[in-house]
Amino acid sequence: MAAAEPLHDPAPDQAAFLEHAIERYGKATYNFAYRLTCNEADARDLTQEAFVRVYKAWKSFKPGTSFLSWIYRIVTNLHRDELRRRKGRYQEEIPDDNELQEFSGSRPLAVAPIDDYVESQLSEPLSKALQELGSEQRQIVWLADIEEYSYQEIADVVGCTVGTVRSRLHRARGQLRKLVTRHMKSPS
Amino acid sequence: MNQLHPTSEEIVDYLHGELSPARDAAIHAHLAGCSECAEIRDSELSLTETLRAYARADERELPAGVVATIRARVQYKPPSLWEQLSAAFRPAVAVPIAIAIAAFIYFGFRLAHGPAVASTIDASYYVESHAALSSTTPLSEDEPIPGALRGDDQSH
Repeated sequence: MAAAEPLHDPAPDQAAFLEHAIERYGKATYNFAYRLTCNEADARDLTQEAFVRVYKAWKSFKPGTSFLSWIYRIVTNLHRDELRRRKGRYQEEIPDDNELQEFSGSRPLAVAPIDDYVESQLSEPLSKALQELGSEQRQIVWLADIEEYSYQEIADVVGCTVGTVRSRLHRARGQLRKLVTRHMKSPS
Repeated sequence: MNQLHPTSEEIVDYLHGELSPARDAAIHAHLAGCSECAEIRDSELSLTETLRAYARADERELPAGVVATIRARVQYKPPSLWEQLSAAFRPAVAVPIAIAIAAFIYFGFRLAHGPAVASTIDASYYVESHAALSSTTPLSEDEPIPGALRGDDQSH
């Protein structure tokens, strides 16, 4: 699992440590930042800042633990700070756990749309649907389903409880289904 | 069919390997015999597979400019005030600075207050001359004349 992959043999030198980290995890970090922000400029800024933080705090990294989880946590915190800073200037919302959950505690109302997904047809609706999810929901879906992190690992990255991860993941998947279905029915 | 169907959330947790071993085994057995729940499982699996396929197709390379900017930022960052102070107080620098400060204070004090007048007067002058004057005829106007004054008279 990606989350358990440690940064083996961290170089003793600070600059070498940074180079090693960029070489091995730069791309993954950038992709993670891109999933959070949904735009390249912000993803670049987040990635740069995250690696500068890694450079400064390189001694606090514990060999044998997951470097990727560490830097994902840094990226998450930076992104959260940036959202707070931009609050009022940008439209993106931080999702609220108290929002209505279409599938909460019950079985899905319909499962057919997923069965109908064909990759060539799905890419655009799924892309739009992911962008419409809140950044924290998008992040949790990404970590759970793409990176295959455990709920506990996600909780460590995001800084919340396992129960919150579980509820956000369920709600995010439910909303994703709804949004994909909507975009497939009315592509625009 | 088993009437105690797992919720869709439990099926998602099952697919993510997040259930206790006992519950995991129970749902595994249930799914084998319940087509309705198996359909939900397949649907959830399909969503996950679709997300992975999308992520693979949409994977992005790290822009070269990002690495260059990181390197520039960590190499040319000006030292902080604390780092500057720490560097200034290294022993090799601090000891000469302390000596220079002490010397400046000492000589500055000397210059500010001028030469110490009291230290330039010979104390024996007061002891000998005054004692000689008072021990003979302190009320006499003739003798003896203090040594310090006698020289002036003799010159005439």
